Formats: sequence, structure tokens, C-alpha cells
Amino acid sequence: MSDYLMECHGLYKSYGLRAALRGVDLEVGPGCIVGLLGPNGSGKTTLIKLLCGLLQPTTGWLTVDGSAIGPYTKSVISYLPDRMYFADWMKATDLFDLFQDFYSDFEYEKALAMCQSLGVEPRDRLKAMSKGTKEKVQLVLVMARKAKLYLLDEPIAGVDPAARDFILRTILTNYNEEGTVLISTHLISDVEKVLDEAIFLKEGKIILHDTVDNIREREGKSVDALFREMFRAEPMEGGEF
Amino acid sequence: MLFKLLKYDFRAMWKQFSLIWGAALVLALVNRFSIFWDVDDHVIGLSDTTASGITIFAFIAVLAAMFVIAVIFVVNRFSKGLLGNEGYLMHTLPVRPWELVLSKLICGTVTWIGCGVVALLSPFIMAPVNWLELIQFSFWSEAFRGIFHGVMKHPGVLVLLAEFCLVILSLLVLFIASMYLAMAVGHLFSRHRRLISVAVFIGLYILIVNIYGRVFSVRFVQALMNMATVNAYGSMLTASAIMLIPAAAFLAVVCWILENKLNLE
Repeated sequence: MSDYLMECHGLYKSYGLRAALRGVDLEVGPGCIVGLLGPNGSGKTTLIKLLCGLLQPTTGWLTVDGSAIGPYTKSVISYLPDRMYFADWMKATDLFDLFQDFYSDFEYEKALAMCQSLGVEPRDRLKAMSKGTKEKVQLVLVMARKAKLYLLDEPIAGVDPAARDFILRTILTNYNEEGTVLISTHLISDVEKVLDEAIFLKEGKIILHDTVDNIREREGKSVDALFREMFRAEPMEGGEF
Repeated sequence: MLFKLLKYDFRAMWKQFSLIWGAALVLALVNRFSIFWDVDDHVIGLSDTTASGITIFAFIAVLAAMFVIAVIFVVNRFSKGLLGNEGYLMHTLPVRPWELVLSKLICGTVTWIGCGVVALLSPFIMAPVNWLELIQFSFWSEAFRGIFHGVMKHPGVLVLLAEFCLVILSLLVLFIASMYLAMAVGHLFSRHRRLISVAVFIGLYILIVNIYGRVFSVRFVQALMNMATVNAYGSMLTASAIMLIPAAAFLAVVCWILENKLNLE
């Protein structure tokens, strides 16, 4: 069996004529925090959805923990999508019940403790909660699992800097350290300090995959600075930023 | 895992329908006393007041709303629950797509049966029956004795009744399976998904009618049908099979689409 937790080979995904991923080859081991970094439309969400089984690859294959995507891989993946996915009539405790029924690694007590520390009342109906509180509930659902692979799609997008720190702290203090966390984001400076590895995705292709230490040593600059350099948009009419 | 899925589907169903089913039954009871009023012990009078007109209207409106909501419920549980935002949760659960589809199908069928039962039960509640007489033990013992003797004389009645229920069930399953397939095919397109789903649903209806027309005009099939439908028992079983075979094919295609072509963009 492979040492890698997650493997993709020749992964290609298109939506109609538009290619979102173009031949991605990727191997990620267990026990690390990996940043999936790229500008909007670079294919980050597509790659994560393929790993979750929410999309099917056009060509190529991918495995998680040595298995093709299916019920087993779904049982070891904890996924935080970039949208709300629950019915409004439910309470947070209903969702905890559901997760406890379907995921053997879900820790109910931990979920309740996380709610308390995040200031969420788990017996309130979700439709009575603010958008921010709902996002916290979703974060609790994901981080209260002892998963092998956490797939976090833009967990800090659209929130203020204070909330970003708060979310990152929640992730770091609650994830299973034997598992791997894959965080997709374009807000590099906020996550750089917690990353072990960085994957740069551009127009559906991986253009860089290395440890953060290697990148800093080799390039002599931070991952954020390198990202800005690599993805700098050329201004029109030869103007300057 | 299927039972766990059913638990949550039925919980959602109960959340939505407990109120409307309760309202329909309560309004039926209100109508019993607002339309029919006891003149003396055995004479029932008919009320023609505005109040009774309003309660009848409310009752009919609730029944109509119940069936409309039942159709919307079945559509939404599939389109929003599996192909919309809630699909992000359902498709990341460690279950096979066929379990998700079967759970929705069972829940949808039970919902429609529940609505049918409420619609059938309501007239009985509204009927000007003397409940005090009805709940007496002697009445029930006589009634059961009569039914028992009737069934013993003609035991085939129970089989016919069961087969009739199976035909109704098959019809519901075929209808729901057609809706699921229409939505699943619509989901394959990036634009105008609802419009395409409606077109596919109409197309499926035309396709089924055409296929039936062609298949049953073949002499060999006619001979088989004649053998199968020599009596009422065979006719109803054949009718069920005729509906369940395409329903199974539709559901197989739905599962295949969810397994291989799922596209929650």
C-alpha cells in the first residue's frame, strides 16, 4: 500500500469545453497541513470536490487512503464546503445526531464543547442563526471529527482578519494530528504560518508543490511574496499598480 | 445505512406534514359539527350558514394544498436534497447513491400514501355518524364478525385488495421514478435545468406510452398477456409488473447519473 494519503494522476476535469483541471499529478502524505493556493478560477474547489466525490473526473484517477473515491473515502474525509449545506428547519444538535449516525469518528461531546467555546447555542434552530453562526456550526461539524483528511474549501474567505485568526485557531486546536489538512485559499499571508506544504495551482495545473521551508530557503522569500510574484496580473495599457 | 437515511427523511417529512395532516383531520371534524347538526337522537339536520360554508372551503383548500405540497415535497427532497446545496452533505455521507435515491423514493411514496389516507379518512370523520353508538363494543364485534364471515366465504377478496394496493403503489413509484429521472437528466445540463427536467418528464410519458403501444402490439407479447390476464388476479399483477419494470429502469439510470455524472458545480 502507498505511503501517501492522497494521490491524483493525470487528473483532468472539464465543464463543457472549459477545462478546470489539466492533468494534475499530486501526492500528499499523512500528518501535515497543506495549502492549496491559487487565484480565483485556478481549480482549487474543483480538485477538492473531486476528492469528496461531488464531481467525477473527466479522465485520470485519484485515491484517498489507498481507495478510489467511494463510501470508504467519504468516511475518512471531513469536508468544509464553501457554502451552507443544511436544511434550515434543523437544529445544530440534529446535525450532530446525523454526523454521529454516519461517521464513527464524530465526537459528540467535543462538538458540544466547541459550540460552547464558539458561543453557539446548539439547540437553536439554524434558520434563527446569523450567517456567521451557521458557518461556525459547519466548522464544528467538520472539526469535531477525527478524520484522516480534512478538506477545507476557502474557510477564511469573506470574513474579517480577526475572524480569520479565530477560524484558523479553531482548526489548529481541533484537527486530528495524524491526519492531513488541505486548506484551499488565496489569502496566503493568513495561513502561511501554519502550513507545512504549499501547492500552487494555476489555470488547472500544479506549478509548484513543496514544503514551505524549502520554498523559503530556495526562493529567499515568503510563500505569500512568491505567490504575489507568480500570480501578478499584468495591468492593461502598461499601467502600474 | 439505508435505515439511518430513512430516519432523517421521515423526520423531514413529519416536520412538514404533521401540521397539514392534523389540520385536514381537525377541519373534517369541525365540518362534522358545522355542516351536520343533531336535531334529536336519530335525525340529522343540514346547516346552511356562512360559517359552515367557510369551514367547508377551508377543508377543501387544506386538502388541495396537501396534495400540491406533497408533489413539491417529493420534487424538493430530490432536487434540493441531492442536486442542490444539501447535496453537499448527502453526497459526502459514506453511503452509495442508490441508498440515497431509495430512501427518498420510500419517503416520497409514504408521503403520498399518507396524504391519500388522510383524504380518504376525512369524509368518514365528516360523516354524520353517532360516535357514541359506533364506539360501543357490540357494534365492532358485529362488524368484525360480518367482515370475517364475508372473507371466509370469499377469501380471494383479500388477495384482490392486496393486489389493488400493489397497483396503486406501482403507479406512485413509476410517477416518482419518472420525476427523479427527469430531474437527474436536467442536472446534466449547465443551464435551464428546470425547463429541461419538465421537457424530459413529458418526453418520458410519451416514450412510455409509445413503447407500451409497440410492445403490446407484438403477437408473442399479446399471447403472454392473454395467459397472464385470464383472471382479475393475473390482470392486476401484470399491471403492477408493467409499471414497475420501467420504474426500475428509470431508477437504475438515476443511480448511474448520481454515481458517474454527479456535477455539483
